[in-house]
Parts: sequence; structure tokens; C-alpha cells
Amino acid sequence: MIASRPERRGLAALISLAAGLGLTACGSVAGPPAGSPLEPLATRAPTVPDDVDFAAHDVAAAALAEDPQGLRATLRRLKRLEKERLEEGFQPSGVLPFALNLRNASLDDDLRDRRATEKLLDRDDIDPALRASLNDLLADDPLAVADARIWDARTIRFAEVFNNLAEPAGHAMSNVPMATAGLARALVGVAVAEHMADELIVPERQALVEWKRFVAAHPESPQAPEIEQRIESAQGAWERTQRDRVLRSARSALQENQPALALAASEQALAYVPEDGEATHIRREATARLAEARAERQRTLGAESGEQAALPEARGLAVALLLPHGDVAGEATRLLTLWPKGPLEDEARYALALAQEESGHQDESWATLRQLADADPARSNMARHAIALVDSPDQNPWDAFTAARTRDRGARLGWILLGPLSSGPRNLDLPRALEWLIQAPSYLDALSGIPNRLISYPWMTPWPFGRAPATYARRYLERDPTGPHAEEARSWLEDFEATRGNWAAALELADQAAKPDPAHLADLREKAASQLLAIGKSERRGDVRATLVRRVAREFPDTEAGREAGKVARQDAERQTPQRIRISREFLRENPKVAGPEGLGLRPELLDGDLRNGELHPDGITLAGGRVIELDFVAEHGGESAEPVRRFERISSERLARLVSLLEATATRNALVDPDDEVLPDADRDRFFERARLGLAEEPSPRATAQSTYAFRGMRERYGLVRSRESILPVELVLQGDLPNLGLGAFPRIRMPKPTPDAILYR
Amino acid sequence: MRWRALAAPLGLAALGLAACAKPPEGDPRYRPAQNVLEVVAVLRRHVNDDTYRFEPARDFTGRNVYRASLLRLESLEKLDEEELRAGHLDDVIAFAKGRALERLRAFDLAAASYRKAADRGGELREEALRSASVCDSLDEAARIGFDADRAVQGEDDPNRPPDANAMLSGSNRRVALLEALAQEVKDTHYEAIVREEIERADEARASYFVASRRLTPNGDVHALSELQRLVARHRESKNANRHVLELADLYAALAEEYTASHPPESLLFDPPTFQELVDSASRLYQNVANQDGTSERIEASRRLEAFLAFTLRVDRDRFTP
Repeated sequence: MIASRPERRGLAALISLAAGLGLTACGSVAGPPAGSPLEPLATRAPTVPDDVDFAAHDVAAAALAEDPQGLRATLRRLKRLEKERLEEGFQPSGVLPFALNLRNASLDDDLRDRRATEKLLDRDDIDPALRASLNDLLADDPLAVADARIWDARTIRFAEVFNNLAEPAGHAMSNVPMATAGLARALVGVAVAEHMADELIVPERQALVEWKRFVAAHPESPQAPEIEQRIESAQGAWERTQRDRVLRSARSALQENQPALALAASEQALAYVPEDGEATHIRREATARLAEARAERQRTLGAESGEQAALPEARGLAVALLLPHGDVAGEATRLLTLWPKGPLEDEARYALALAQEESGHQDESWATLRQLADADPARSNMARHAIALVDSPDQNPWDAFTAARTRDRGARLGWILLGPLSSGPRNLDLPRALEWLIQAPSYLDALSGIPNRLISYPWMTPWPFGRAPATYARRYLERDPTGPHAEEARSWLEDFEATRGNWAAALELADQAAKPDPAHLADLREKAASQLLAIGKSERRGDVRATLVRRVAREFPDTEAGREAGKVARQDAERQTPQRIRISREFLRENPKVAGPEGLGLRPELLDGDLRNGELHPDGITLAGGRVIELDFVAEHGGESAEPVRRFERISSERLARLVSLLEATATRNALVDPDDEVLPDADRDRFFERARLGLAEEPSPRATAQSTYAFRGMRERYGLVRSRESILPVELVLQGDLPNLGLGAFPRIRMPKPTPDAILYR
Repeated sequence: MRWRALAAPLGLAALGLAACAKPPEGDPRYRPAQNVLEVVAVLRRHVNDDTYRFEPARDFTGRNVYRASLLRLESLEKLDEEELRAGHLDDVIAFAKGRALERLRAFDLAAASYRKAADRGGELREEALRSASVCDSLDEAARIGFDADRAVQGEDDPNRPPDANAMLSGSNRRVALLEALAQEVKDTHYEAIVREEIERADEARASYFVASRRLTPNGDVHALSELQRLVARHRESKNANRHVLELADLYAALAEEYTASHPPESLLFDPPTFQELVDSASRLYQNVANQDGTSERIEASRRLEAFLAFTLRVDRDRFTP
């Protein structure tokens, strides 16, 4: 008799307890077994088929031969045989529900199949795994899925309003004025949410897809006309939703004077809803602005006619500018002296700035250019060129860096004072003044969070500040590694990298310092090595992990982490096997069939919890690639928490095939019966199992990408003795304390439906 | 009534005033170039720019500064013919056009412009002749072998390499010529131009193998190794991220082609092979997507998202992300 799963778990717990007591009493651990840990493979006697088996064969043959009459006849025979078995006092064979399912699957009409499946589920002799499969089949019905999504959508819409209002209402008992204010704010919040909400939300779009699927599969169904109407209505709403979204972008692009973006977005909106009034208006406005900007740009390519265009006085400076080592400074000064307020004064000053830069006086050069940039463009033709240089983060990364650093300081201060509201009120697609008005109370709330933010500020992960100044500091160092501000930029970057915990980058920058501090470098090397080692150890792919770990050992031999990396690299090399599919001891205890004579054939005493006769370590067994398995035993000295004693065994192809077949079947069945016991997908594990079952696992694949590190773990290992269960109630009760106002509130909150796994396809 | 009588003459007077008024001037920032020195000064600022490592500068309208300077010089030549008739700035304009043209890869036109400047004699003559000679060499190198921007005109086209060996030999000759030139022009602004041309030759070579990969044995492997070579040889280039993106694109294309030729549900599908292609493409896209302050960052993150969406088509028991 096979024990039920809870019974098995209870048994396992008792065994463990007994083992623990035994260990304490005797204090002796046997270590790994002296002989083979595996028993000889149980021979399988050929089964003599009985009448039920023959009938099952005939049902399958008739179904495969697409012979409905034959199928009906053989089913009748099977039913009769089952009845006879029961009358003779035997247990049901369990074959009949499977045969009935096969009959249902052979039906031409999907809808008939569903109805028959529903009827089949009424039987009480169905295997639990089959029942779970049939329930999954019924749940995959497009109309059922669509109904569920529509229910989700309604729940979301209702819950958004309810939850918004319930919270301030819940505080009404303790603080009436605050609750009233909160309620008013909640009402505004609900109105804003309604204003911002899409006409069709994700669950409704999922329902739309399911309806389309149904109509495509069953165009002749009596429900089809009604579903088509729903599709038409939802499709219209979806197009309007998309129109609204792109119109929002078009509007803000126009506000920010980005006509090209506004034009593209408005045209997209018109594709969804042709002749839409607002989209047409935005397109017209954007087109006009673009045309104006193009005309202006085109104008700059022309030339102004007149004698000033080719003044002979310009020649000297022009030639100096074009010659590789021309005397630009001399010619520019000569021109300025000769003609101080002449028409070429700006050009001469611009040339002077160039000469200053080339003679290594960058700061003076930029000061000259800034002075030129401040001139009135109507009076100075070079002001625009100077502005372009001064404002370009590529040409003038130092100014870009200092400006970004100032903005960044402001952003930090803003975050401490106002948190997420520091960048202004959220865009609600309303006039800005109204957005400020609506969100003004949130600013008062935000101020109360200052102490919290001050405390959490130094430990924020990931560090959200400084990215823009860092980009410009790097750009400055790339362009001018020996420039006047190089040391300052480098030092700032080093601090930035250290603040965000990127020690490897901080070390690289510290190495470039003009006068590096050896103690500081040593500290950074230690931290960088630890960081790189942690990255290496967390790498899933064996080859990449080995490369990273070896790099740490090679580049940081003088650090603690470097020495540890050496040990890890050596251990990895020793333990490196083509496969690492682990079956834990707890899994084997919970599923004794896998370790038993039908599967691996492990000696039973190795799982009995008695350390005196040898015991498998909690790590259990690992399929190491090819026909090799690694068995981990509790060491003679050290107990279960210590490192195990590893032993490798080469098993026969048949034993391996039996083991993986039983392992996969057991895990799949467990997953069907208990949703918490899921089998996660792993392509490399499945491929190894596929080859093992076919007897083709002899030659293991040496590729790192072929290695699976999947672990079959017991339920107790995963969830402990008591599994936490998610409430099935749709509403939860929230108790909330409010320190600044010394208020206490209790209110119900509707649980939002969880997004389905395919929700990612509707982003 | 009296007001009505006055309206007509007042209206006429307003119209008259409007007709006489100066047409409204646009934004003064966008007025045309004022003189030759303005253009030459702006161009000169960027002559020594390392355009191999950094993007070419843009002028105040956002245009490539070399192209904008060339167009403005041409406008000045046309519109101010009278003022330039004395010829006192002919060599300056021709020389400056040469400097702009060589940055736009029009080496033959640049050489002709330099010669025109040299013909005028004067202080620029020697430098103009030297620059013309360098541009001739650059032009000669640019015409050797296969290049993606030269459309092959039929079977007899000398630009059509008969096979990979001929293409490689042409590419090697081109790079050898450019490397010799690089020694000659060391420490001049041509150093960056020559490096750009070497990169261009390497790009042409890689693009040949990418284009012909399906027609040649081991074509995919060759194409991958050529793109990897391009990435490795030009890590300092402004196009480095673009090269990495091209390599990532090729891995992504190979992954898609693999699923087309070996459907995931078939027995021929090998999960590790597919995983290797996916890992490589994703890693490269991710590398570029992490580069702050570059336009390729947005491209890479969107392409990565699109590529990962493609992998959703493959059953989870054949590919586990």
C-alpha cells in the first residue's frame, strides 16, 4: 500500500526525529557504506495481460484508427468488465476514466468534448492527476478564460474606487477632520484615476483576444454572433484607448516643442481613428512648426551678400587658421588692434579662443567663448557658434559635468525633502496648474517622510543619483585625460563608483590617480576582489563562472577574496561534472518509489534516518552526466550539516533510464496533484532525461550550456513543516497606524486579481 | 457715420504702411553666414577633432559641422561673386573646402580643391599640395576591393570580388596602404581620417562575409569571426557600440534561423546550441544597453526586448530563459 503524501511527510519527520534521538544516544555515525550503495536492479517479470488490459488496448486501437463504432463497442466491453470486477469484489482497475477521456478526445467537436469532459469529472473513480489535467483542459476554454478576465477587470475597476475610499473612511473613528480631508482627497484621486484610465484595461484586452480565438475556432457556434458583437465593441474601445495614449504623447511633445515627435504621434492617432479632430489639429500645428524650423535651418546655409563677406582684412587670419601651425593668436590680435570695433571683431575673438585652447589654456578659452556666447545674436554672428560649443556636452564636457553635478545635488536635496514628488507633480494629462493643485496635499505628506528618507538615504540601493554627471565626467576624461580638471573628474568618479558599490570601477579610477595612496588602493583591491568573486560565484554557467573566479584569483592574489577565489576555482575544478541535476534526500524520502527497486535501487538503510548504518546526506544524489551519479553521504565525523563524503557510481543504462523516467513521472504527477509542488521548466534537464531514456546518455555533452543545475527538492525542504496558504477571501482587513497624526484606522481592502502569466504580452 | 467715412482712407493708409514696412526678420541666430572668416573659424575649430574616436561635431543647427561649412562656403562663392572677384580669398575658400570635403570622404574632390588652392600660389600652396597628395592616397585606398557602398554593376565589375580570397586580398592591400599612410601622417589631423578609413575597410570586409554567409561553407562562422574581429580592432572607435550591435544582431538572426531550420518541437532541435546563440545575443545587447549617454543604448534595449520576445515562441522545455 502506498502512503498518502501527508502521511509520507509525517513518517519522514518521525524518522528524522528518531534518527536525531538515536544519534544523540549513540553518537556514532557509520559514514558511507562499505560496499555498493545500490542494490541489484529488480528484474521485471513480463505482465500477463488480463481482459481489462486487452479491452484497453482495443479502445486505444479504435481511437487511433478513428473507428467511432469500434470505439463505442470496445468501451461497452470495458465498462462491462469493470462492472464484473466490482461484482467480484475487486478494486476498480482505474482504466475506465482514461478510456472515457480518450473517447472524448476523439470527438470531432471541441464543444462536445468539453461537455463530455464536464460529465466525466462527475465520476468519483478518477485518478487525481487525471482530474487535474481535465480541469486544466476545461480552464483553457476561451469563453471561460474571457469570463474570468472580464471578472478580473470589473474587480479591478471596483477595487480601485473602493480601496481609495475605504482607507480614509477607516480613519474616521479616530480623527474625523483628517478622515474628511482624506476622503475629499480620495474622491479627487478617484476622479483623476478615472481621467487617466484606459478605456480598455489589460484583462479586458485579454478577454478580447480569447473571444477572437473562440470565433475563429467555432464560427458556426450559436454563441458566435453574440461574441462577435462583444468583439466589435471591445475592438472599438481598444482603438480609442490606443488613440488616447498616442494623443497624450503628441500633446506633451507639442508642449515641449518637439514637433517631429508630435507629428509622428498624431499620425499614429489618426491611423487608429481617422479624421480625429484633436489629432488633425496637432498634426497641422506640428507640420507648420516643422516647416518653420526647416526653413530657418535652410536659411543658415546661405550667405549674406555684401562687401563684408570678403573683406581683404580677413585674409591674414583666415590663412593662419588654415595652416597647421599658423600664428592664429598673432593674426587675431593684429586684426583686433587694427580694427577694434570692426565687423570682424567677433571672428577674431573666436579665433583667439581657439589659439588659447591649442596653447593649453582651456579654461581661458572657454571663458572667452562664454563671453562671446553672451553677446546678442542680432549683433554678433559668432555668438551662435560660441553658444553651440559652450552648450555642447560633447565639446564642453566639463561645463556639462558641473551643470549636471549641480542639478544632481538639487535632485538629492529634493528627494530628501519631497521624495518621489521632488520632480514636480505627476503628469495627469491636465493643465499644469491643476496638476499642482490636485497634488498639493501630497507635498505636505511628503514633508513628514523627511526623517525616514534621511535615515535611508546613505543605504539606497541601487544608488539612484549621479548618473548624468558620471557620464560627462567620463566623457571629459576620454577627451582630455590630462586636462586641467582631469584629477577632479577622476576623483569625483571614484567617489561615485564607491558610493554605488562598484568597487572594481573605483579601483580602476583610483589606479589612475596622479598620486595614488597605497593604503587606499589596498582597501579598494580587497573590496573589488570580493565584489568580483561574488559575481563569479553567482554565475549560473559553469564556464563563465570559472573564468570570473580564476580572474579574481589571478588578478588579486594578495587579497582575502583572491585567496578564496583560488580555493573556489580548485573546488569547482574538482567537482566539475557535465551535469548537476540533484535529487535531494528529502525528495527521495517523500517519493520512496524513485529511490526504490523500481527506480534507482538505493539500499533502503541509506534513507532510514539511522546514521549508524550509513545515511545519505541532505544533498542527496546528483546526476553528474553520462551514466555517472554522485552520491553524497553523511561523513563519519561531522554530521549532516558538515560537508558530505562524495562517491561516484557508474550505473547501467537501464537503471538510469528507469530512474529518470520515474523521477519525471513522479514530479509531474506531484505537480498535477499539488500546485505548490511545481516542476520548473529546464530545457537542459529535459534534454538529458530524453537522451537517458533512449539510452543515449553515454557520451555527456561537454558544453557549458548543456549543463542543468536543476534540483528536485522535497516539499518540507521548500516550505517547512507548515505551508503558508494564501487566503481565498477576496477582501483583507487592514489595520493602519499613523504616527504623525497619532491616528489608528481599520478598513477592508479588496484584493486585486494577480496578473496572469501572459499579461506580459499586453504591456 | 463719420467713422464709416473715415474707415476707407484709414484702411488704405494702413495697407500702404504695411507695404512699405521692412519684411519681418527671422530669428537672428538663423541668419546666413556673414563672411568667409566666420566659416573658416568654425571649420578650423574642428579640423583637429579625432573623428575616429568621437562623433563629428555639429553646428548650431545640429548639422555635421564639415558639411554645413562646405555648403556655406559654396553659398558665399555663388552669392558674393562680385566681392570675391579680386581673388584674394580664392585659395582660402578652396583650401577650406578641401578640409571639409576630406571629412566627408570625398577625397577626390578634396584633392582637386587643394590643387585649386595651390594653383593660386601664396602661403597655403605647400600645405595644399601636401594635403592633395594625402587625399589622393586616401582616394586610391578607398577604391580598392569590396565596399558595401559601391553597388556591383554586373559580372565584369572590377569591384565584384570573385570569391572570399580575392576579397580578402583586396582588403589586405587596402589596409596595408592605409597603414603605410598612417605612418606618414602621424601627428596630423589625417591620423584620425586614416584610422576611420582602416575601420571602413574592416567594416567592408565584415559586411562581405555577413552578406555571403548563407552561400559559403561555414559562412556563419566566418561572418561571426569577422564581426568579432571588427569589434576587437576598433574598441576605441566612436562606432564601437554599433559594431557590437551588429554582432548581437547576427547572433539574434542566427537564433531565429536556427528555430526556422530546426523547429523547437522537432527532435533535431538542440537546446544548448540555441541557448548559446541566445546568451551571446542577449549579453551583447545588454552591454550596449548599459552605456549611459549614447543613442545606441535605446536601440540596444529595444532590440533586446524584441529578441527576448521572440524567444517566448520557443517551448519552455526546449529553452529556459
